[in-house]
Amino acid sequence: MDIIQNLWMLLILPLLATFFTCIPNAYVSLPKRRITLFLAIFSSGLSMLLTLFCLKYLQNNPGDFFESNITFLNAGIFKIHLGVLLDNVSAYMLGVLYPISLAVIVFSYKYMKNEEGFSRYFAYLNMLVFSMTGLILSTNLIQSCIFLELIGLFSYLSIGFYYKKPETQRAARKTFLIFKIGDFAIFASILGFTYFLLQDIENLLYPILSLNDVSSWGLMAYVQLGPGLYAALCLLAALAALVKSAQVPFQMWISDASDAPAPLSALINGAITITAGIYLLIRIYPAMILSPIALKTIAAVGIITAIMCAAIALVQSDIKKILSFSTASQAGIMLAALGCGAYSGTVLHLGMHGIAKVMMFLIAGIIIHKTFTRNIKFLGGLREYTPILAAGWLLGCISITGIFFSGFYSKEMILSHIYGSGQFVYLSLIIIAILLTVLYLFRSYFLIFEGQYKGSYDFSIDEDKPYDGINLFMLIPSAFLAFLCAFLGGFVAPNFQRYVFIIKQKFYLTRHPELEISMFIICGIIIYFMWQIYTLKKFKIKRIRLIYKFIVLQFYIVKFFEYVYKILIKGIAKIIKVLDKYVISGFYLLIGQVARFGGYLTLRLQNGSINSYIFCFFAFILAILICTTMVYLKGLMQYGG
Amino acid sequence: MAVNFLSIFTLCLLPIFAGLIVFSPIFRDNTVKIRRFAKGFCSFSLIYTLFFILLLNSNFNKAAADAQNIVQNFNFTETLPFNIIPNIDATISFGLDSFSILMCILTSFIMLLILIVSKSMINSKQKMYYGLMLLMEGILYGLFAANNLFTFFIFWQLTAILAYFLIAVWGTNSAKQSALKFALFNTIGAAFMLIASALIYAYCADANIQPEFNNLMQASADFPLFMQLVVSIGFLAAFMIRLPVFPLHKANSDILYDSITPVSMMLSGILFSTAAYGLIRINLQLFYEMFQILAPALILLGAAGIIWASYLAISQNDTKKITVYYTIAQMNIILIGASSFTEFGLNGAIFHIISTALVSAGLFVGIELIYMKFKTRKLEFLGGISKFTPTLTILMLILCLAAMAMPFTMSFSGEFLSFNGAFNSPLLEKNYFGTGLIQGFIIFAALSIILSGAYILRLLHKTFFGIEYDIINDFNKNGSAIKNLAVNEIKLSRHQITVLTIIVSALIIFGIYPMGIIDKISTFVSTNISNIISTIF
Amino acid sequence: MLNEFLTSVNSVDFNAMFTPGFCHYLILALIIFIIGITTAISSANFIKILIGVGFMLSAACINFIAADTFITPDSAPINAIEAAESTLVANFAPISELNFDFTSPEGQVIGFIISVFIIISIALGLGLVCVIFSKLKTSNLNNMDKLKSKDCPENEAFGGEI
Repeated sequence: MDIIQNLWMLLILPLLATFFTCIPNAYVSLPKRRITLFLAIFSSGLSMLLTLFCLKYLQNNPGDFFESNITFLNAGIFKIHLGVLLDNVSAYMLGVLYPISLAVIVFSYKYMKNEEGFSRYFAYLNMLVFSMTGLILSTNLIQSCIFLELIGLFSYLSIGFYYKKPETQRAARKTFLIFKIGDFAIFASILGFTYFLLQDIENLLYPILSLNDVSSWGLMAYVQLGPGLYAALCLLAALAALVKSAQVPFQMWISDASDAPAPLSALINGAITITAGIYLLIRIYPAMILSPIALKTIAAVGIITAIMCAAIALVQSDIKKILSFSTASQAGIMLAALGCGAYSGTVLHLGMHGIAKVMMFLIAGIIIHKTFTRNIKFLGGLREYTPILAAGWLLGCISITGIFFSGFYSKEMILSHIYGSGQFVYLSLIIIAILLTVLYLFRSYFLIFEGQYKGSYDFSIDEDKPYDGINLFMLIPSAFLAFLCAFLGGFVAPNFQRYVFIIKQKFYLTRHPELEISMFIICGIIIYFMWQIYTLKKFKIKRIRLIYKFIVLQFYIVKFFEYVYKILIKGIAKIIKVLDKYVISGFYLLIGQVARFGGYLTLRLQNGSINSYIFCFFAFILAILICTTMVYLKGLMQYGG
Repeated sequence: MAVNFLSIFTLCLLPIFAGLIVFSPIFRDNTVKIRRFAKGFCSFSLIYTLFFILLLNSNFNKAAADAQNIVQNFNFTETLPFNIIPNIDATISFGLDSFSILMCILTSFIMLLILIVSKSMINSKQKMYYGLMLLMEGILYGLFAANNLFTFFIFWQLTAILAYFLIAVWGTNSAKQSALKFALFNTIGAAFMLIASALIYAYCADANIQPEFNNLMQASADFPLFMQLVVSIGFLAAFMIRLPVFPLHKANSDILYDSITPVSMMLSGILFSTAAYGLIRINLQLFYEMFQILAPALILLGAAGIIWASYLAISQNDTKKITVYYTIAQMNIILIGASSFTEFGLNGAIFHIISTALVSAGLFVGIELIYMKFKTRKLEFLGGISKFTPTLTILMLILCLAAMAMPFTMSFSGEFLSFNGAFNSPLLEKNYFGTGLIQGFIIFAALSIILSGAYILRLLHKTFFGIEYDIINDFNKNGSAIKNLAVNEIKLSRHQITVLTIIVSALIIFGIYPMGIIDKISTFVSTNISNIISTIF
Repeated sequence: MLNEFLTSVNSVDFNAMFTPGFCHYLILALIIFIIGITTAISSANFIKILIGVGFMLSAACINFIAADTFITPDSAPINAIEAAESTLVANFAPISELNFDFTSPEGQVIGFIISVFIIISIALGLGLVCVIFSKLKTSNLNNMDKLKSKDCPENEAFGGEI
């Protein structure tokens, strides 16, 4: 089978699924619901099979890549191409995306069964998958920009899914505005890079800003701009990634993203939007290597985010918000790793973390569906009632913190790279972030699943039911993802660095057992102490009120941003409105006043006094006389006699 | 054989004739008959203009023209056989090429949409309205098809006069004042244009050149430089006043706000585009050497105008004012694309003319529909409409996304190409402001992406989503509240839904497949403009 | 000193006397014209205006007659250039040479016509004064302001009385 046709099918399938299910009905009948589900499963399932086929091919012929472009816009020299590009990184990302989307689709069928807007939901779901596929398969930076904006659009629409509630709409609006900052950033960087690319018109290769040879256009810009300005240009491009993956100045949207319906917020938080930002950085990484300042800045932002968001997650009491801030924190760790040069580790972690996080979101969805509460203060002791969910949650926690299962391989790759390359500052900071991860994740585990149940749901009605009364549609996707989370890492990781690498970058293949074992021990100790604190209540944690408040308000970043919005946008708008009303309209009034003044002067001649009329009469005659005499004399002088 | 019935004189004169029929006592105040006659005539015009581009392929298609060895510029021309002003050889002469016919198609399309949607919006003096609209259509065809500066000037003035009537009669209370201001400033610009045209005609009569556009395009390079400068600035003054360039935008924004919605659609869609058309046709094609000097200043003013208009839109509380300032911002984007002296910039500017016309028309219609049901335009009194009209919500959502230049809508391609064109303009290295300064300013103007997101979302959310206004708790404020109206569902009439659906589908179809229109634009740009660009000193 | 004065009175030296030339008559006419125009412009009495008009016309009359006296066909400047070297005094001493030329009386004819014109204009003006006085009961110009527009601001620059 032709690989290129495969890839185009991957793009077209979700579009077809959307197109056929987009029926604007409030309540959809059962046959229509089944058709919708079938189309969505067909699209994602077929995509998964095609991806597996591509992966097998790439495993047999390493080093191949496929690219195919169509011309979207042809305006003279400047052309925009849309296309598909398959190489190791994109194949891996696709291989991670489709199982997740398949799981979410099956989960949402039951979740949205009796809700309004069923087909709209599936339309958003399919379009999110389409946008992410388009981004992963994009061949050039302009296509990435297009699909990044589309991802932002559909995230906004998903967050505002319940459009009759005003609070969700406000959250959605804020989210979209923050995404627009990212859109502006990538647009400006495209402007900059295209400028340098078009300086050399004879050797212009299409597509413009191709992601296949990023280093060529990066080098062109670097040569002409110099290190400082080039770092600024790279940081502009990276700003889009920072915005999309909820890094620190822009992390406000991630807590609002939990207003979406649970499976969609799983996708947004876990697998699609956050992943999109980091994927963009991965793609333009060869251009960023040229500027170490940019890389270090990204690493700094990443590690600050990791620690800050971990601290914020430590004080949250809403399950979904804990998971959202956990995603932001892990994204920060990935960016820090990328900034320090651990390319393969970041790519691996992107996939593994996505699977684990979506699984945890789905489990949280099941919990919320059953106990009708999101607050972990009203949960507890669920392990006795649903040991399946407890096992899944524990699996996810262990995987994300990197102690065992899939997350272990990716974390170990990152840590060994940083340790091997000798950046001990970042190593210590990342270790602090990982320990904070342990803290908040296991805090959530112990508070939800251990101890006494403080809620009001009567679990006795589920005792006799199979699978603890959890619907199969919700259970099987979670189990599938748990299976992947447990075993995929061991399957993919061992040879990963042979496939995913950056040319001319040193990677550190040696494993450092001392690092692994010490991490293992430290995490074990922390978990033990947490078990003591939360379950056995041996020690009590004292809250320092000031620090608590500081962290809860997300380090006052939200307030700071509202302040900035008020000044930068609304304040300047008010100034310009006043300027427009008085200065520019004043210019128009000025012309009117000039005409009125001329009229005033002329009006003063109509004063009814005959003496003035006589004076004007004689003055006019005198003027004519003088003019005539001057003309005559000039004529005399010129022509003589 | 098939092309014998195509004639530009028919194209221009038939709507004028139909308008005069409407004014005559034949129809006798039967509004239904007048309306149907006007709409039918407009659809006939649309089909007729489409025939031009379908049948006269050799004129508008580069490949076919090369196959038949036809020179591209304006080879389909028609002239009156006699001179109107004999001493300087001034006559009425029309000519079409790809750009003109594209603008004519846009005119007929938007006019048809306007006439369909004005069934519910015009409630008095229908005879005069439909007559004036048909006259306006004919005169706009004449303007876009002008092959001659005399024709151009006559039809330019006629559009201003008709616009005055259309704005003043059906507008708000201050419509007469705004229309007077607009007519006054238009006349000031036209005075400059008259002096410039007169200079050209005098020179041509002296030097024995036929003053048609065809000849002037080759001959204008030989005019004395000072005269070229004076003439360029004269024309530029007229175009800067009507295409609202940054300091001179107040009169245009006032008339857009004060006029009734169908007239607003026509103004924002076509009338402001006539200035862009004139800029490209006269300043860029005829006097390109002087335009190279003036273009960096235009880019600077355009970028300032984008930011200014976007910030103004954020501070407004009135739905119609937001749309007005949105239109002005888009016009400035067209300006920086058109003065960029690159092929792709000009392509993007012309494409953006079409997309702005559609998006502005759609937004004006949507806002007017809200106004007709809830009798208020202020954002603080609106909210939560999405409960009542899912249809209008979806359509306005897609329109607002198109306004924010979302990919796969038309305005994305237009804006993207215009900004890229302006940034890569070859004039910016040799300008008098210093390297890199104007480019930095263009990146600053690209911040309008964020700002347009802010105000368009504000418009969308404050009207459709959000909390309904509760008059019981806010009894100090006047205004109609939605809670008071006891509506369960708002039904939109067929006409309104049809117009909005057509606009939205056109935006999405040409967003996914922009090459359908850019093909035609490219033939114009690549034949006429590339040799101009290669002469940059 | 008294002796010198008596001596000069007794012995009149006609050649050393001051003989008025063309420009002196012109200056005289100018002075009278200025008097006339000042009176005409800045008086509030109608009759004073007529007197001023008469003065202006008289000044014009003086100009014409002086021109007739002093400008002869061969007194054109181009002739004077040749004749000036020899007969410099002769051009400006018509009385001593008794050099009257009666062949071109145009100036004096126009002088007669102007005086007729003065009389007619004053007659008409006095007639107007009678009519206006019978209507408005005043001949003060300051009260005749029916042509004043309603929006005109009050000012003292024009219309004030000298």
